[in-house]
Amino acid sequence: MLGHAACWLSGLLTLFLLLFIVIFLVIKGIHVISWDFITTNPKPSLDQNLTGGIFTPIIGTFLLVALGTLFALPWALATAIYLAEYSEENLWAGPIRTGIDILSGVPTIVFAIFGLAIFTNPHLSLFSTMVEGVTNAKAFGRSFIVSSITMAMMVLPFIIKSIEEAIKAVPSAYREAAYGMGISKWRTIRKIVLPSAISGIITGVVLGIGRIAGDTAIVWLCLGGSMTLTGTQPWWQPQNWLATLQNTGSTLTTYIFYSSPAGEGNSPDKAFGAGLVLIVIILALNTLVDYWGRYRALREE
Amino acid sequence: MENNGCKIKVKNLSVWYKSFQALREVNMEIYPQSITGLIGPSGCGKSTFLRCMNRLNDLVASFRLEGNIDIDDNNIYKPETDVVMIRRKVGMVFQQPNPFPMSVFDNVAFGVREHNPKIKKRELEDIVIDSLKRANLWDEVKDKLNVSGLSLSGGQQQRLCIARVLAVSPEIILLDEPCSALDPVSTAKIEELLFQLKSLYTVLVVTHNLGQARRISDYLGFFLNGNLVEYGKAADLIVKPSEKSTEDYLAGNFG
Repeated sequence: MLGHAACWLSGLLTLFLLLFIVIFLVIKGIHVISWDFITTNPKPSLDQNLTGGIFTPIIGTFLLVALGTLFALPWALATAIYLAEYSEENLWAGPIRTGIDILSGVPTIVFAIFGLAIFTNPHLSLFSTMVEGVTNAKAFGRSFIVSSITMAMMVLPFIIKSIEEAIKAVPSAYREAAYGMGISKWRTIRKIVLPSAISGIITGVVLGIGRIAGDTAIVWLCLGGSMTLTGTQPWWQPQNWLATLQNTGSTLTTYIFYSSPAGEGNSPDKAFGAGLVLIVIILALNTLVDYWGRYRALREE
Repeated sequence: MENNGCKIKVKNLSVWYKSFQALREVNMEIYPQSITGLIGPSGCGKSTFLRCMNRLNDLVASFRLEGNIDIDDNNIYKPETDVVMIRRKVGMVFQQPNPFPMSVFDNVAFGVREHNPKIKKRELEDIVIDSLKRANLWDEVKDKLNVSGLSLSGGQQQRLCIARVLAVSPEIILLDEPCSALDPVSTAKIEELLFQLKSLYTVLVVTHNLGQARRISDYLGFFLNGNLVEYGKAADLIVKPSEKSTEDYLAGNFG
Protein backbone atom coordinates (compact mmCIF):
# COMPACT_ATOMS: atom_id res chain seq x y z
CA MET A 1 0.00 0.00 0.00
CA LEU A 2 2.82 2.36 0.92
CA GLY A 3 4.78 1.33 -2.17
CA HIS A 4 1.76 1.96 -4.34
CA ALA A 5 1.33 5.44 -2.87
CA ALA A 6 5.03 6.29 -3.29
CA CYS A 7 4.95 5.27 -6.96
CA TRP A 8 1.76 7.25 -7.58
CA LEU A 9 3.27 10.26 -5.87
CA SER A 10 6.43 10.02 -8.01
CA GLY A 11 4.33 9.93 -11.14
CA LEU A 12 2.35 12.94 -10.01
CA LEU A 13 5.55 14.77 -9.15
CA THR A 14 6.89 14.19 -12.68
CA LEU A 15 3.74 15.72 -14.12
CA PHE A 16 4.06 18.70 -11.78
CA LEU A 17 7.69 19.10 -12.76
CA LEU A 18 6.70 19.52 -16.39
CA LEU A 19 3.82 21.85 -15.51
CA PHE A 20 6.11 23.86 -13.27
CA ILE A 21 8.69 24.37 -16.03
CA VAL A 22 6.07 25.34 -18.58
CA ILE A 23 4.17 27.65 -16.24
CA PHE A 24 7.39 29.26 -15.05
CA LEU A 25 8.45 29.89 -18.65
CA VAL A 26 5.05 31.31 -19.50
CA ILE A 27 5.01 33.66 -16.50
CA LYS A 28 8.55 34.86 -17.11
CA GLY A 29 8.46 34.98 -20.88
CA ILE A 30 4.96 35.64 -22.13
CA HIS A 31 5.11 39.42 -21.79
CA VAL A 32 8.01 39.80 -24.25
CA ILE A 33 6.31 37.69 -26.91
CA SER A 34 4.84 39.76 -29.70
CA TRP A 35 4.84 39.72 -33.47
CA ASP A 36 7.80 42.09 -33.34
CA PHE A 37 9.75 39.83 -31.03
CA ILE A 38 9.41 36.96 -33.47
CA THR A 39 10.09 38.90 -36.65
CA THR A 40 12.97 41.25 -35.79
CA ASN A 41 16.65 40.40 -35.64
CA PRO A 42 18.56 40.45 -32.36
CA LYS A 43 20.54 43.62 -31.78
CA PRO A 44 23.43 44.01 -29.34
CA SER A 45 22.57 46.49 -26.61
CA LEU A 46 23.07 46.97 -22.92
CA ASP A 47 19.43 47.97 -22.55
CA GLN A 48 17.20 44.92 -22.62
CA ASN A 49 14.43 46.87 -24.32
CA LEU A 50 16.67 47.58 -27.31
CA THR A 51 17.95 44.03 -27.90
CA GLY A 52 15.44 43.28 -30.64
CA GLY A 53 13.81 39.91 -31.32
CA ILE A 54 14.61 36.34 -32.16
CA PHE A 55 14.00 36.13 -35.91
CA THR A 56 17.45 34.88 -36.94
CA PRO A 57 17.72 32.38 -34.04
CA ILE A 58 14.40 30.87 -35.15
CA ILE A 59 15.67 30.65 -38.73
CA GLY A 60 18.91 29.19 -37.40
CA THR A 61 17.06 26.48 -35.47
CA PHE A 62 15.05 25.50 -38.54
CA LEU A 63 18.15 25.52 -40.78
CA LEU A 64 20.06 23.32 -38.39
CA VAL A 65 17.16 20.90 -37.93
CA ALA A 66 16.55 20.61 -41.68
CA LEU A 67 20.17 20.20 -42.66
CA GLY A 68 21.03 17.93 -39.74
CA THR A 69 18.10 15.64 -40.53
CA LEU A 70 19.04 15.66 -44.21
CA PHE A 71 22.52 14.36 -43.34
CA ALA A 72 21.44 11.95 -40.60
CA LEU A 73 18.38 10.29 -42.15
CA PRO A 74 19.85 8.46 -45.18
CA TRP A 75 22.81 7.36 -43.08
CA ALA A 76 20.64 6.14 -40.20
CA LEU A 77 18.13 4.49 -42.51
CA ALA A 78 20.80 2.51 -44.34
CA THR A 79 22.45 1.44 -41.08
CA ALA A 80 19.14 0.42 -39.54
CA ILE A 81 18.24 -1.62 -42.62
CA TYR A 82 21.58 -3.35 -42.41
CA LEU A 83 21.18 -4.15 -38.71
CA ALA A 84 17.57 -5.29 -38.94
CA GLU A 85 17.62 -7.18 -42.23
CA TYR A 86 21.14 -8.26 -43.11
CA SER A 87 23.31 -8.41 -40.00
CA GLU A 88 22.40 -12.00 -39.04
CA GLU A 89 24.60 -13.26 -41.83
CA ASN A 90 27.52 -11.15 -40.78
CA LEU A 91 30.20 -10.81 -38.11
CA TRP A 92 30.06 -7.01 -38.27
CA ALA A 93 26.75 -6.70 -36.46
CA GLY A 94 28.26 -6.99 -32.96
CA PRO A 95 30.92 -4.27 -33.34
CA ILE A 96 28.47 -1.97 -35.13
CA ARG A 97 25.88 -2.35 -32.38
CA THR A 98 28.45 -1.73 -29.65
CA GLY A 99 29.66 1.31 -31.58
CA ILE A 100 26.15 2.72 -31.75
CA ASP A 101 25.62 2.17 -28.02
CA ILE A 102 28.85 3.96 -27.15
CA LEU A 103 28.10 6.75 -29.63
CA SER A 104 24.74 7.35 -27.98
CA GLY A 105 26.49 7.90 -24.67
CA VAL A 106 29.04 10.44 -25.93
CA PRO A 107 28.31 13.93 -24.51
CA THR A 108 27.46 16.45 -27.21
CA ILE A 109 30.29 18.77 -26.18
CA VAL A 110 32.70 15.99 -27.21
CA PHE A 111 31.08 15.81 -30.65
CA ALA A 112 31.41 19.58 -30.76
CA ILE A 113 35.16 19.79 -30.12
CA PHE A 114 35.64 16.89 -32.52
CA GLY A 115 33.67 18.69 -35.23
CA LEU A 116 35.58 21.89 -34.65
CA ALA A 117 38.94 20.07 -34.76
CA ILE A 118 38.08 18.35 -38.03
CA PHE A 119 36.56 21.28 -39.85
CA THR A 120 39.24 23.84 -39.03
CA ASN A 121 41.43 21.78 -41.38
CA PRO A 122 42.14 24.19 -44.28
CA HIS A 123 41.26 21.48 -46.84
CA LEU A 124 37.73 21.48 -45.46
CA SER A 125 37.25 25.23 -45.74
CA LEU A 126 34.51 24.48 -48.30
CA PHE A 127 32.24 23.72 -45.33
CA SER A 128 32.91 26.98 -43.53
CA THR A 129 35.21 29.85 -44.54
CA MET A 130 38.94 30.48 -44.64
CA VAL A 131 40.41 32.56 -41.86
CA GLU A 132 42.24 35.47 -43.48
CA GLY A 133 45.54 36.89 -42.30
CA VAL A 134 46.99 34.02 -40.26
CA THR A 135 50.38 32.50 -41.00
CA ASN A 136 49.18 28.90 -40.96
CA ALA A 137 46.26 28.39 -43.30
CA LYS A 138 43.19 27.56 -41.25
CA ALA A 139 39.47 27.18 -41.91
CA PHE A 140 37.10 28.91 -39.53
CA GLY A 141 35.43 25.58 -38.75
CA ARG A 142 32.16 27.14 -37.67
CA SER A 143 29.13 27.24 -39.92
CA PHE A 144 25.65 25.81 -40.39
CA ILE A 145 27.10 23.02 -42.54
CA VAL A 146 29.72 22.09 -39.94
CA SER A 147 27.27 22.12 -37.06
CA SER A 148 24.68 20.16 -39.08
CA ILE A 149 27.18 17.42 -39.87
CA THR A 150 28.22 17.32 -36.21
CA MET A 151 24.55 17.25 -35.15
CA ALA A 152 23.96 14.39 -37.60
CA MET A 153 26.71 12.36 -35.92
CA MET A 154 25.22 13.13 -32.53
CA VAL A 155 21.63 12.07 -33.36
CA LEU A 156 22.64 9.11 -35.52
CA PRO A 157 22.51 6.44 -32.80
CA PHE A 158 19.06 7.53 -31.60
CA ILE A 159 17.57 7.57 -35.08
CA ILE A 160 19.19 4.25 -36.00
CA LYS A 161 17.79 2.55 -32.91
CA SER A 162 14.24 3.74 -33.39
CA ILE A 163 14.22 2.90 -37.11
CA GLU A 164 15.70 -0.52 -36.41
CA GLU A 165 12.94 -1.22 -33.89
CA ALA A 166 10.33 -0.08 -36.41
CA ILE A 167 11.72 -2.37 -39.12
CA LYS A 168 11.89 -5.31 -36.75
CA ALA A 169 8.26 -4.73 -35.77
CA VAL A 170 7.09 -5.34 -39.36
CA PRO A 171 5.47 -8.81 -39.31
CA SER A 172 7.72 -11.43 -40.89
CA ALA A 173 4.60 -12.71 -42.68
CA TYR A 174 4.86 -9.71 -45.03
CA ARG A 175 8.42 -10.60 -45.89
CA GLU A 176 7.64 -14.28 -46.39
CA ALA A 177 4.72 -13.42 -48.63
CA ALA A 178 6.90 -11.21 -50.79
CA TYR A 179 9.79 -13.67 -50.96
CA GLY A 180 7.28 -16.39 -51.78
CA MET A 181 6.21 -14.40 -54.83
CA GLY A 182 9.73 -14.18 -56.16
CA ILE A 183 10.43 -10.65 -54.97
CA SER A 184 14.09 -10.10 -54.13
CA LYS A 185 15.12 -9.20 -50.60
CA TRP A 186 16.08 -5.65 -51.51
CA ARG A 187 12.81 -4.98 -53.35
CA THR A 188 10.89 -6.49 -50.43
CA ILE A 189 12.61 -4.07 -48.07
CA ARG A 190 12.00 -1.11 -50.38
CA LYS A 191 8.39 -1.79 -51.30
CA ILE A 192 6.96 -3.71 -48.33
CA VAL A 193 9.06 -3.37 -45.19
CA LEU A 194 9.92 0.34 -45.24
CA PRO A 195 6.39 1.53 -46.12
CA SER A 196 5.04 -0.62 -43.28
CA ALA A 197 7.57 0.85 -40.88
CA ILE A 198 6.95 4.46 -41.92
CA SER A 199 5.40 5.67 -38.67
CA GLY A 200 8.33 4.28 -36.68
CA ILE A 201 10.75 5.92 -39.07
CA ILE A 202 8.98 9.24 -38.59
CA THR A 203 9.12 8.80 -34.83
CA GLY A 204 12.88 8.36 -35.15
CA VAL A 205 13.18 11.51 -37.20
CA VAL A 206 11.13 13.52 -34.71
CA LEU A 207 13.32 12.22 -31.91
CA GLY A 208 16.32 13.47 -33.87
CA ILE A 209 14.68 16.82 -34.56
CA GLY A 210 13.98 17.32 -30.87
CA ARG A 211 17.58 16.60 -30.00
CA ILE A 212 18.98 18.89 -32.69
CA ALA A 213 16.64 21.74 -31.79
CA GLY A 214 17.45 21.34 -28.11
CA ASP A 215 21.21 20.92 -28.27
CA THR A 216 23.42 23.81 -27.18
CA ALA A 217 27.01 22.59 -26.93
CA ILE A 218 27.41 21.81 -30.63
CA VAL A 219 25.82 25.10 -31.67
CA TRP A 220 27.96 26.99 -29.19
CA LEU A 221 31.25 25.56 -30.54
CA CYS A 222 30.47 24.76 -34.17
CA LEU A 223 28.20 27.67 -35.06
CA GLY A 224 29.81 30.37 -32.99
CA GLY A 225 28.51 33.35 -31.13
CA SER A 226 27.04 35.73 -33.68
CA MET A 227 23.35 36.35 -33.12
CA THR A 228 22.49 37.17 -36.73
CA LEU A 229 23.25 35.25 -39.90
CA THR A 230 26.73 36.25 -41.07
CA GLY A 231 26.64 35.09 -44.70
CA THR A 232 26.21 37.46 -47.64
CA GLN A 233 23.13 39.64 -47.11
CA PRO A 234 20.26 39.55 -47.73
CA TRP A 235 20.46 35.94 -46.63
CA TRP A 236 17.03 34.93 -47.99
CA GLN A 237 17.96 35.45 -51.62
CA PRO A 238 18.75 32.13 -53.34
CA GLN A 239 22.17 33.26 -54.61
CA ASN A 240 23.22 33.81 -50.99
CA TRP A 241 21.90 30.53 -49.55
CA LEU A 242 25.20 28.68 -49.88
CA ALA A 243 27.06 31.57 -48.25
CA THR A 244 24.54 31.59 -45.41
CA LEU A 245 25.13 27.88 -44.79
CA GLN A 246 28.91 28.33 -44.97
CA ASN A 247 28.74 31.08 -42.38
CA THR A 248 27.52 31.31 -38.83
CA GLY A 249 24.46 32.40 -36.92
CA SER A 250 22.61 31.32 -33.83
CA THR A 251 19.76 29.09 -32.74
CA LEU A 252 17.19 29.55 -30.02
CA THR A 253 19.36 27.58 -27.60
CA THR A 254 22.49 29.71 -28.08
CA TYR A 255 20.29 32.80 -28.09
CA ILE A 256 19.09 31.78 -24.64
CA PHE A 257 22.66 31.18 -23.53
CA TYR A 258 23.97 34.49 -24.84
CA SER A 259 21.01 36.49 -23.52
CA SER A 260 20.62 35.01 -20.09
CA PRO A 261 22.62 36.40 -17.18
CA ALA A 262 23.29 32.77 -16.31
CA GLY A 263 25.19 32.61 -19.60
CA GLU A 264 26.80 35.67 -21.05
CA GLY A 265 23.99 38.20 -21.42
CA ASN A 266 21.80 40.59 -19.59
CA SER A 267 18.37 40.19 -21.17
CA PRO A 268 16.75 37.52 -18.96
CA ASP A 269 13.20 38.24 -20.15
CA LYS A 270 14.18 37.77 -23.78
CA ALA A 271 15.88 34.49 -22.82
CA PHE A 272 12.68 33.22 -21.19
CA GLY A 273 10.69 34.34 -24.20
CA ALA A 274 12.98 32.42 -26.52
CA GLY A 275 12.76 29.37 -24.25
CA LEU A 276 9.00 29.48 -24.46
CA VAL A 277 9.09 29.73 -28.27
CA LEU A 278 11.52 26.79 -28.45
CA ILE A 279 9.28 24.58 -26.30
CA VAL A 280 6.22 25.54 -28.35
CA ILE A 281 8.04 24.68 -31.62
CA ILE A 282 9.16 21.26 -30.32
CA LEU A 283 5.70 20.48 -28.90
CA ALA A 284 4.06 21.55 -32.17
CA LEU A 285 6.34 19.30 -34.20
CA ASN A 286 5.63 16.34 -31.93
CA THR A 287 1.89 16.87 -32.05
CA LEU A 288 1.88 17.29 -35.82
CA VAL A 289 3.76 14.06 -36.36
CA ASP A 290 1.64 12.24 -33.82
CA TYR A 291 -1.55 13.26 -35.64
CA TRP A 292 -0.09 12.36 -38.99
CA GLY A 293 0.87 8.91 -37.69
CA ARG A 294 -2.64 8.31 -36.36
CA TYR A 295 -4.19 9.52 -39.59
CA ARG A 296 -2.07 7.06 -41.55
CA ALA A 297 -2.89 4.19 -39.19
CA LEU A 298 -6.60 4.96 -39.56
CA ARG A 299 -6.36 5.00 -43.33
CA GLU A 300 -4.63 1.63 -43.37
CA GLU A 301 -7.32 -0.18 -41.42
CA MET B 1 14.31 -38.08 -69.56
CA GLU B 2 11.81 -40.36 -67.99
CA ASN B 3 9.75 -38.26 -65.65
CA ASN B 4 6.59 -40.29 -66.22
CA GLY B 5 4.55 -37.11 -66.24
CA CYS B 6 5.42 -35.89 -62.78
CA LYS B 7 5.96 -32.18 -62.13
CA ILE B 8 8.09 -32.40 -59.02
CA LYS B 9 10.44 -35.26 -58.27
CA VAL B 10 11.89 -35.44 -54.77
CA LYS B 11 14.90 -37.74 -54.36
CA ASN B 12 16.44 -38.74 -51.02
CA LEU B 13 15.52 -35.46 -49.41
CA SER B 14 16.91 -34.99 -45.90
CA VAL B 15 16.74 -31.75 -43.97
CA TRP B 16 18.39 -30.60 -40.76
CA TYR B 17 17.91 -27.55 -38.55
CA LYS B 18 21.20 -27.45 -36.67
CA SER B 19 21.51 -31.06 -35.49
CA PHE B 20 17.79 -31.80 -35.55
CA GLN B 21 16.81 -33.89 -38.55
CA ALA B 22 13.43 -32.70 -39.82
CA LEU B 23 13.16 -34.89 -42.93
CA ARG B 24 14.66 -38.34 -43.57
CA GLU B 25 15.34 -39.54 -47.10
CA VAL B 26 12.00 -38.58 -48.54
CA ASN B 27 11.20 -39.75 -52.06
CA MET B 28 8.08 -38.50 -53.77
CA GLU B 29 6.71 -37.77 -57.21
CA ILE B 30 4.11 -35.05 -57.45
CA TYR B 31 1.77 -34.88 -60.41
CA PRO B 32 0.41 -31.88 -62.28
CA GLN B 33 -3.29 -31.02 -62.51
CA SER B 34 -3.91 -32.61 -59.16
CA ILE B 35 -4.06 -31.79 -55.50
CA THR B 36 -1.51 -33.53 -53.32
CA GLY B 37 -2.35 -33.43 -49.63
CA LEU B 38 0.33 -33.72 -46.96
CA ILE B 39 -0.86 -34.93 -43.56
CA GLY B 40 0.68 -35.93 -40.26
CA PRO B 41 0.90 -34.80 -36.65
CA SER B 42 2.54 -31.51 -35.64
CA GLY B 43 6.29 -31.48 -36.09
CA CYS B 44 6.27 -34.39 -38.55
CA GLY B 45 8.08 -32.39 -41.23
CA LYS B 46 5.23 -31.71 -43.65
CA SER B 47 5.57 -27.93 -43.52
CA THR B 48 9.34 -28.18 -43.82
CA PHE B 49 8.81 -30.37 -46.87
CA LEU B 50 6.47 -27.80 -48.40
CA ARG B 51 8.89 -24.96 -47.77
CA CYS B 52 11.66 -26.87 -49.55
CA MET B 53 9.67 -26.63 -52.78
CA ASN B 54 10.19 -22.86 -53.11
CA ARG B 55 13.41 -22.73 -51.08
CA LEU B 56 11.78 -20.59 -48.41
CA ASN B 57 13.76 -22.58 -45.87
CA ASP B 58 16.88 -20.87 -47.18
CA LEU B 59 15.90 -17.98 -44.90
CA VAL B 60 16.56 -20.13 -41.84
CA ALA B 61 20.25 -19.81 -40.96
CA SER B 62 20.62 -23.30 -39.47
CA PHE B 63 18.89 -25.02 -42.42
CA ARG B 64 20.83 -27.78 -44.25
CA LEU B 65 19.59 -30.04 -47.03
CA GLU B 66 20.72 -33.17 -48.82
CA GLY B 67 19.12 -34.75 -51.84
CA ASN B 68 17.41 -33.38 -54.92
CA ILE B 69 14.18 -31.66 -55.78
CA ASP B 70 13.60 -31.61 -59.53
CA ILE B 71 10.93 -29.33 -60.90
CA ASP B 72 10.43 -30.06 -64.60
CA ASP B 73 13.65 -32.10 -64.46
CA ASN B 74 15.68 -29.19 -63.05
CA ASN B 75 17.22 -29.57 -59.62
CA ILE B 76 16.19 -26.38 -57.81
CA TYR B 77 18.99 -26.81 -55.25
CA LYS B 78 21.72 -26.60 -57.89
CA PRO B 79 24.16 -23.86 -56.77
CA GLU B 80 23.57 -21.74 -59.88
CA THR B 81 19.79 -21.70 -59.43
CA ASP B 82 18.13 -18.28 -59.29
CA VAL B 83 15.96 -18.59 -56.17
CA VAL B 84 13.83 -15.62 -57.18
CA MET B 85 12.92 -17.35 -60.46
CA ILE B 86 11.99 -20.55 -58.62
CA ARG B 87 9.64 -18.63 -56.37
CA ARG B 88 7.90 -17.03 -59.32
CA LYS B 89 7.17 -20.48 -60.64
CA VAL B 90 6.17 -21.84 -57.22
CA GLY B 91 3.62 -19.65 -55.44
CA MET B 92 2.83 -19.98 -51.76
CA VAL B 93 -0.16 -19.34 -49.51
CA PHE B 94 0.41 -19.25 -45.77
CA GLN B 95 -1.44 -20.43 -42.68
CA GLN B 96 -2.33 -16.95 -41.47
CA PRO B 97 -3.80 -14.76 -44.22
CA ASN B 98 -1.08 -12.16 -44.78
CA PRO B 99 -2.20 -9.52 -47.27
CA PHE B 100 0.15 -6.55 -47.55
CA PRO B 101 -0.93 -3.32 -45.82
CA MET B 102 -2.07 -1.80 -49.12
CA SER B 103 -5.26 -1.69 -51.17
CA VAL B 104 -6.96 -4.81 -52.53
CA PHE B 105 -5.93 -3.80 -56.05
CA ASP B 106 -2.31 -3.14 -55.10
CA ASN B 107 -2.08 -6.43 -53.21
CA VAL B 108 -2.72 -8.30 -56.45
CA ALA B 109 -0.86 -5.83 -58.68
CA PHE B 110 2.27 -5.67 -56.54
CA GLY B 111 3.97 -8.84 -57.76
CA VAL B 112 2.99 -8.21 -61.38
CA ARG B 113 4.46 -4.70 -61.28
CA GLU B 114 7.62 -5.95 -59.62
CA HIS B 115 8.18 -8.59 -62.28
CA ASN B 116 7.19 -6.35 -65.17
CA PRO B 117 7.68 -2.68 -64.20
CA LYS B 118 6.79 -1.43 -67.69
CA ILE B 119 3.40 -3.12 -67.83
CA LYS B 120 0.59 -1.03 -69.31
CA LYS B 121 -2.13 0.12 -66.92
CA ARG B 122 -4.86 -1.57 -68.95
CA GLU B 123 -2.99 -4.86 -69.04
CA LEU B 124 -2.31 -4.72 -65.31
CA GLU B 125 -5.98 -4.11 -64.58
CA ASP B 126 -6.92 -7.09 -66.72
CA ILE B 127 -4.54 -9.34 -64.80
CA VAL B 128 -5.79 -8.09 -61.43
CA ILE B 129 -9.44 -8.56 -62.37
CA ASP B 130 -8.77 -11.97 -63.89
CA SER B 131 -6.84 -13.11 -60.80
CA LEU B 132 -9.55 -11.91 -58.44
CA LYS B 133 -12.14 -13.74 -60.54
CA ARG B 134 -10.15 -16.94 -60.54
CA ALA B 135 -9.79 -16.66 -56.75
CA ASN B 136 -13.61 -16.36 -56.49
CA LEU B 137 -13.22 -13.00 -54.85
CA TRP B 138 -14.15 -10.56 -57.62
CA ASP B 139 -17.85 -10.33 -56.83
CA GLU B 140 -17.14 -9.50 -53.20
CA VAL B 141 -14.46 -6.84 -53.76
CA LYS B 142 -15.22 -5.28 -57.15
CA ASP B 143 -16.65 -2.18 -55.45
CA LYS B 144 -13.84 -1.83 -52.93
CA LEU B 145 -10.64 -2.32 -54.87
CA ASN B 146 -9.21 0.76 -53.16
CA VAL B 147 -9.85 -0.25 -49.58
CA SER B 148 -7.05 -1.81 -47.55
CA GLY B 149 -6.61 -5.56 -47.97
CA LEU B 150 -6.48 -5.77 -44.18
CA SER B 151 -10.10 -4.60 -43.92
CA LEU B 152 -11.44 -7.77 -45.58
CA SER B 153 -12.69 -10.75 -43.57
CA GLY B 154 -10.27 -13.59 -42.83
CA GLY B 155 -11.63 -15.80 -45.58
CA GLN B 156 -11.58 -12.97 -48.10
CA GLN B 157 -8.03 -12.11 -47.07
CA GLN B 158 -6.95 -15.69 -47.73
CA ARG B 159 -8.54 -15.64 -51.18
CA LEU B 160 -6.85 -12.31 -51.78
CA CYS B 161 -3.55 -14.01 -50.98
CA ILE B 162 -4.42 -16.72 -53.48
CA ALA B 163 -5.32 -14.10 -56.10
CA ARG B 164 -2.02 -12.39 -55.43
CA VAL B 165 -0.20 -15.65 -56.14
CA LEU B 166 -2.25 -16.41 -59.27
CA ALA B 167 -1.47 -12.95 -60.65
CA VAL B 168 2.20 -13.78 -61.14
CA SER B 169 1.19 -16.95 -63.06
CA PRO B 170 2.94 -19.71 -61.15
CA GLU B 171 2.85 -23.36 -62.22
CA ILE B 172 2.85 -24.82 -58.74
CA ILE B 173 0.90 -23.54 -55.73
CA LEU B 174 1.90 -24.46 -52.18
CA LEU B 175 -0.62 -24.00 -49.39
CA ASP B 176 0.45 -24.37 -45.76
CA GLU B 177 -2.69 -25.14 -43.76
CA PRO B 178 -4.57 -22.44 -45.64
CA CYS B 179 -7.84 -22.91 -43.75
CA SER B 180 -6.67 -23.44 -40.18
CA ALA B 181 -7.40 -19.81 -39.27
CA LEU B 182 -10.78 -19.73 -41.03
CA ASP B 183 -14.38 -20.51 -40.18
CA PRO B 184 -16.20 -23.46 -41.87
CA VAL B 185 -17.94 -21.34 -44.51
CA SER B 186 -14.72 -19.66 -45.60
CA THR B 187 -13.02 -23.04 -45.53
CA ALA B 188 -15.62 -24.47 -47.89
CA LYS B 189 -15.06 -21.58 -50.29
CA ILE B 190 -11.31 -22.15 -50.34
CA GLU B 191 -11.76 -25.88 -50.89
CA GLU B 192 -14.09 -25.22 -53.79
CA LEU B 193 -11.54 -22.80 -55.20
CA LEU B 194 -8.72 -25.35 -54.95
CA PHE B 195 -10.90 -27.78 -56.86
CA GLN B 196 -11.22 -25.28 -59.69
CA LEU B 197 -7.53 -24.46 -59.68
CA LYS B 198 -6.20 -27.94 -59.95
CA SER B 199 -6.97 -28.22 -63.64
CA LEU B 200 -4.37 -25.53 -64.32
CA TYR B 201 -1.80 -25.93 -61.58
CA THR B 202 0.08 -28.43 -59.48
CA VAL B 203 -1.34 -27.93 -56.01
CA LEU B 204 0.27 -29.06 -52.75
CA VAL B 205 -1.68 -28.62 -49.52
CA VAL B 206 -0.47 -29.22 -46.00
CA THR B 207 -3.47 -29.82 -43.78
CA HIS B 208 -4.24 -30.75 -40.24
CA ASN B 209 -7.82 -31.41 -41.12
CA LEU B 210 -8.34 -35.04 -42.14
CA GLY B 211 -11.79 -34.29 -43.48
CA GLN B 212 -10.32 -31.66 -45.74
CA ALA B 213 -7.56 -34.00 -46.87
CA ARG B 214 -10.21 -36.56 -47.80
CA ARG B 215 -12.41 -34.05 -49.62
CA ILE B 216 -9.84 -32.35 -51.80
CA SER B 217 -6.79 -34.59 -52.30
CA ASP B 218 -6.05 -36.72 -55.33
CA TYR B 219 -2.83 -37.95 -53.73
CA LEU B 220 -1.99 -38.13 -50.06
CA GLY B 221 1.31 -38.32 -48.25
CA PHE B 222 1.49 -39.22 -44.56
CA PHE B 223 4.51 -37.91 -42.66
CA LEU B 224 5.67 -39.08 -39.26
CA ASN B 225 8.89 -38.02 -37.47
CA GLY B 226 10.40 -36.76 -40.69
CA ASN B 227 9.64 -39.91 -42.66
CA LEU B 228 7.23 -40.14 -45.53
CA VAL B 229 5.46 -43.21 -44.16
CA GLU B 230 3.04 -43.70 -46.96
CA TYR B 231 2.18 -42.00 -50.22
CA GLY B 232 -0.33 -42.85 -52.91
CA LYS B 233 -3.74 -42.21 -54.43
CA ALA B 234 -5.86 -40.55 -51.77
CA ALA B 235 -8.75 -42.97 -52.22
CA ASP B 236 -6.53 -46.02 -51.70
CA LEU B 237 -4.59 -44.60 -48.78
CA ILE B 238 -7.69 -43.62 -46.88
CA VAL B 239 -9.59 -46.84 -47.45
CA LYS B 240 -6.75 -49.26 -47.15
CA PRO B 241 -3.59 -47.83 -45.56
CA SER B 242 -0.75 -50.31 -45.75
CA GLU B 243 1.06 -49.07 -42.64
CA LYS B 244 -0.17 -49.46 -39.08
CA SER B 245 0.82 -45.87 -38.11
CA THR B 246 -1.16 -44.41 -41.05
CA GLU B 247 -4.19 -46.40 -39.99
CA ASP B 248 -3.83 -45.20 -36.39
CA TYR B 249 -3.46 -41.58 -37.50
CA LEU B 250 -6.45 -41.74 -39.82
CA ALA B 251 -8.47 -43.35 -37.06
CA GLY B 252 -7.61 -40.43 -34.80
CA ASN B 253 -5.63 -42.55 -32.34
CA PHE B 254 -2.94 -39.84 -32.25
CA GLY B 255 -2.43 -36.45 -33.82
